[in-house]
Amino acid sequence: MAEADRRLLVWTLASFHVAGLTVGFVLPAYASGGLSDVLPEFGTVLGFLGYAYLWVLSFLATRWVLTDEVLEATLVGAVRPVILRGSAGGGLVGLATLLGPLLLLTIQDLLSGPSNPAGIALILAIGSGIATVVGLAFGLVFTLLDLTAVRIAGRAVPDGAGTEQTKTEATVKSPADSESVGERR
Amino acid sequence: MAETLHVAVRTLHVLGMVVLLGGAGTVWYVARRDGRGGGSDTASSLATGYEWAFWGALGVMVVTGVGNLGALGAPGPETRWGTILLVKLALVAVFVLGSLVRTVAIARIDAEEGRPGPASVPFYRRAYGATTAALLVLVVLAEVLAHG
Repeated sequence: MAEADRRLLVWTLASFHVAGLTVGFVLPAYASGGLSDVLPEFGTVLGFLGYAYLWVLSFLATRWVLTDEVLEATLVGAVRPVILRGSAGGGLVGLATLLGPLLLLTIQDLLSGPSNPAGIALILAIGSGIATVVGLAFGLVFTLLDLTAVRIAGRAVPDGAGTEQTKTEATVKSPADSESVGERR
Repeated sequence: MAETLHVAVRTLHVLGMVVLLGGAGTVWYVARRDGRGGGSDTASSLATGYEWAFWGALGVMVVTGVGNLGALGAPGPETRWGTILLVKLALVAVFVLGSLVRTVAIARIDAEEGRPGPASVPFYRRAYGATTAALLVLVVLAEVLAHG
């Protein structure tokens, strides 16, 4: 797959993961009645910054997951590489989602010499573990959704849809060659 | 200050929908026109450009939509307004998943060697026709929510 198409996929999947996570959180939270109390407290600017931060993390992780090798393997049907890397990427996003804001909140305390270094270290250790595990789980779920989309898209696009030139050449050569063109997908 | 911010958020939300709906309608129209002529070059390049813009605009729509919800102080889910909002959110979730499939399919078509063939035109028509229709339903639901 060409570099331009890989970049489109990275951009798409990174945006999908954050948008999907947000909608996936808002829908049940509103249905349970809890969202109406939480949202006004959160604030518009903070919400925008949080979304942008998550998007950047998601973009970096997706770009790391979707190497040329992993993408090619996925398109020919291999699922193991992308599931392993996707879950690990989710774990890293989970960890960074915790560490970024935590660092911002504690930076002044850390610079002036932490008043309770043991407490901060304990919170970091426990929080990092939980955030990584939650991130791994979300990474796995989104990787499975991505794979499902790839499978459905493969069936939705007609064979040879993008190969006007190649199809013509194949027809001129032989029916056997024509079949191999269809199988490239 | 807060009022200005909320107006800016609502404006971004409306502009985001202009990009999503206007773009999908344009690609659908061009794919229909290309289909009659037998080619697909214009629809193909428009579709690829639209997919880039789509996911950027969708992010803006999601974040401003949630921002609107917080700023408006939305009524609870047990009200008629809340029920319509739940239907809209569920449709948005399905729409986002469907859009992922559409974009991956477009990337696959683009990845093939040579120019996009005529066989891809019916896919463009179906995919962008469905996208346009889904977005129109979401616009109608948004209008109902905005006006009571």
